[in-house]
Amino acid sequence: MIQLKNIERNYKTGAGFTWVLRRVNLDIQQGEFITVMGPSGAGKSSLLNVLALLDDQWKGEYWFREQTVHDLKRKQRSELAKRNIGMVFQSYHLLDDLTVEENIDLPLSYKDIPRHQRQSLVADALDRFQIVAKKGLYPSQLSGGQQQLVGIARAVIHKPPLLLADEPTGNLHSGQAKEIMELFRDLNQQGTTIVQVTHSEANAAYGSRTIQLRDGWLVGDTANPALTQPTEVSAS
Amino acid sequence: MNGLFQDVRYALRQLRKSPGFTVVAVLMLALGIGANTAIFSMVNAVLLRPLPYEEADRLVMVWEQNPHRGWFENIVSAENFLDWKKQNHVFADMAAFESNFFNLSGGSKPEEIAGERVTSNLFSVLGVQPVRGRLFLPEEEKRGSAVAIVSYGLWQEHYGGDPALVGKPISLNGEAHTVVGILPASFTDDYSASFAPHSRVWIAGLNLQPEGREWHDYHAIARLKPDVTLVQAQTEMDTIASRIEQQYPESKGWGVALVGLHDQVVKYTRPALLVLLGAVALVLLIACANVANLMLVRATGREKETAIRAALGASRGQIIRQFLVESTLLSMIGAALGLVIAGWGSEILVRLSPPETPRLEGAAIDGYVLLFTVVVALGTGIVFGLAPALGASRPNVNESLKESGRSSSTSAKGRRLRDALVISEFGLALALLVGAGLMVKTLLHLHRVDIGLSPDNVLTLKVPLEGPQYEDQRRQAEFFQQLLARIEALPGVESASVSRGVPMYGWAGWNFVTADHPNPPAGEVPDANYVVIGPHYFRTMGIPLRLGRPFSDHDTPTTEPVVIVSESLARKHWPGQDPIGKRLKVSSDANDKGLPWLSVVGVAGNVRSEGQYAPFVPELYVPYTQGPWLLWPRHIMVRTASSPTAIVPTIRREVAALDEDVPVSDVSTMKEIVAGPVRQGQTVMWLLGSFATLALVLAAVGIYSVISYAVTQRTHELGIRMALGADRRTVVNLVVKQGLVLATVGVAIGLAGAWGMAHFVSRLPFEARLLLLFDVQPTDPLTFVAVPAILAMVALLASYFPGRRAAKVDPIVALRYE
Repeated sequence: MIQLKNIERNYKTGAGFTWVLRRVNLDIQQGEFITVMGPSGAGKSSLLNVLALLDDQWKGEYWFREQTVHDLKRKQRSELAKRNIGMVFQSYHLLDDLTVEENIDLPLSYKDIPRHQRQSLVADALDRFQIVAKKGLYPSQLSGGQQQLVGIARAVIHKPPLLLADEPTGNLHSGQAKEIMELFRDLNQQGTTIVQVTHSEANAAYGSRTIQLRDGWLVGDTANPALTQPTEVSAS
Repeated sequence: MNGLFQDVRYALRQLRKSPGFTVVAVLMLALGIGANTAIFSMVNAVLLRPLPYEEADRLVMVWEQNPHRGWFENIVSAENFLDWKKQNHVFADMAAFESNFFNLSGGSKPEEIAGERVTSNLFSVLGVQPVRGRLFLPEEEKRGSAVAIVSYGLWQEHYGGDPALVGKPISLNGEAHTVVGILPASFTDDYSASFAPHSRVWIAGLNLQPEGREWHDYHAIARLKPDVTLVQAQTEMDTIASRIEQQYPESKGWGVALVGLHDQVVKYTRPALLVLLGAVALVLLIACANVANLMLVRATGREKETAIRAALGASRGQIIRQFLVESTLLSMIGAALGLVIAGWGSEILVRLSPPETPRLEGAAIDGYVLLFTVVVALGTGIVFGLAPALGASRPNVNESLKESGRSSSTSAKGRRLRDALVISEFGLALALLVGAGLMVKTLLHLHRVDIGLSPDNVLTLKVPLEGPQYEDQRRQAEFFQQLLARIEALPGVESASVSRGVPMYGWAGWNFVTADHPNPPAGEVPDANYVVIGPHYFRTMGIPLRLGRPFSDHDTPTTEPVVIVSESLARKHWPGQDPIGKRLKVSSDANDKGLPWLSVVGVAGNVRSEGQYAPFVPELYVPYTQGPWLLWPRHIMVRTASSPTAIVPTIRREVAALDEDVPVSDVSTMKEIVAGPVRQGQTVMWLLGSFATLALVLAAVGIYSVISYAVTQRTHELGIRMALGADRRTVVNLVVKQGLVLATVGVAIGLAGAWGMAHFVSRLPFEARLLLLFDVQPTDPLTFVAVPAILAMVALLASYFPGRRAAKVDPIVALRYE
């Protein structure tokens, strides 16, 4: 489904460049549930942003279902993301001024979908995630777990084949975290490819494959036990 | 006090710390306060300063009026004046005067000066004392007493402040008059300046004698008794007038109108000044809203500071005081700069003002204006400082002091307040723009008014023939005949003529009867402007001759007396008939043997001889070559092939060659004269337009800053939207929509306000309305559509740029904002 080849990403700093991703090579198959782990600053979120096509300052090659992302223009990448990718954030990132229903509808509102169809999709999602009773409430009226539920509903409303989750349970207590992870497992079993970033071994256990990042390098992959840690190259 | 001092010191440090904010706020306030101060300096000089007379609020102008014929402030007849004076119990005294011009000779060159022939009690009615000499004595009332009082200016400029001038003779119209008094420098002839140029000499000897109540020749002024109100006086004068009306048939329809002197002096200027004062007040309010917005944003950025203060024990009052000290300090600095702007502005305003604007000589930044500025600055500081101060005075100490707390979090209340400020800015700007739009349309209409003559390349000069040598009209005619021949022989001159007066300034009206209706009922005798002209008058002025022939040199005292009438006169008196050959007599009495019947030989096009604002009035023209005239011609009109002003020195030489004692004055082009009546409107339009533009710019800055701030506040939200698929255009639209919604609400409220204002204006008295809106409905649809469209465009532009910046938000950065 996804193939990354020699993906590199750096940021300009006063002293030169800080590398956050170094020559990352990664193949993601349709239906996988991948967990990205590593210490803080390892480049997990940066990798997720590259996969989400939110970042376009990287170098290297990126194929998404045979499409050469690295050759696409910004607008085409944005279109590709809109159709294929859903995002779940640690801080939920719900819009405070919109109701649950309106938040879920948000990704659909950026597509050419007729209003009645959007309404029925939202109603389905509310039903599926059992939050119909909350549809008129604002995020501030929900618990953290409920907010993340809404975040996931919003991420999958347009049925994306790829769901990216950046520490989706980071702000939740263990009970709520478990519910969310089970939801992810269900989604994965229904065919959604999932890439999650987490620090939690328990959450990782829900996945089918775990990759390890350190200082921007891909240093471990359960699907490729032969992967060894490369030599550190100083920043230039 | 110590705390207040500390607040001032801290506020100064705060302002120094944010120079960008301070400069922008001070500039906006300086413009607002400066404009207000400049306009107020005019309002103070023209409307508020008391007239330079003792207990001036008791002085009233006394007019005759004939509402039935549309005459409301008419000069008065001698008999009526004498009867009023005798019969009333409401005035302490009444005086009369007649504006005039005098040839002052005896200097290096002859000079024509404005002056008045007055009843001997005029100055005692006004309550003025001379700086030298004395006032007129009652016995000097009689014509022939030959005494004069001169203005301080004439004394200084013409006689070099000669301390011995009192008692010396001066030559006025070739006759010696003894100077008996000199008026103080502070004296101004505000009581009469709107009727004539500023007087410099007063001579006694009006000597009012019965001459027929139909002859209205004099201005009358009276001093109310101390315990009498204007209304009481009007009631008694109405009673007296109705008694006179019943007693004398020629007074039928005539009454008395009293107008407070101050109202009389400023009546044409007051509406314009009040409109301008209103306009600058709106500009200041918009500036206040802008600065309040900036202060609100700044207060948000200072939540932590306020929270620390509160945590350390600062009371709510102390926090409010600190914010108010800062805002007041800002407004005071703005006011100081505003005073500099007002100093220039005031000078520019005086220069821009039409010369006929009364009481401008005192327009300056005086103590009252300074006090006004300080009060406005204090008020302004509180107006724009209060909302931010109140908002900041209740900090959420717990949240604000958290290290991780989002520093720029904003409450819905704060946002609503900022939105409300922008909405009000647009509402106020709309009101101003509508006003300016209506004025522009008024001016356009006035310029399009067909005045009935062609003013291009026409020069007018006053050549008054006064003195004993010109008492014989034949001598005057000879002078003009020779002068016109000389002028018409000059290269570049196409034609020239004499005339009694200049169109647009109005003529003198005269009663007449036609041979078809020789005996109209008393009080219904028709009247028309009486204009003495030369044979080439119509050609020179570009007035079309509709029927018949112009005058010629063959119209002499020995040939048949002739007259040319205007179209409106012909149509009114001989509808459907050929007016040529009809006869009329310029008298209310067909049997008056002293005046001849005149035969109509031509019909001239109508001329708006009383200005663009006035309708056509009937006119009758008589040839100067065919005396005797009832009024003497005084003006020369010259049409040239190109710009006419170059020829002035040559004409002066030609006049001097004929008689070196004859002055040439009031040199002007007809174009300038035609522009005269619309000058005030033009000035108001330019000023209103400038203030409206300033308001528009301030409103645009307001919406720009609010939307920019909103974009900063919404970075996180916009990042989420972009992460969820919103493209750049969607983000731009989202931001622009926010600006447009605010502008639309503001415009809607402003429209409602402007509509209300328009209805108020439409209920104003006709004269006051006419000066502001000529031939334009206060609810003019074009203005009410165009102005909101302009504001919408401005809002669109002002929101587009922050919108474009918002579209460049990097979602990754935005999401990291958390």
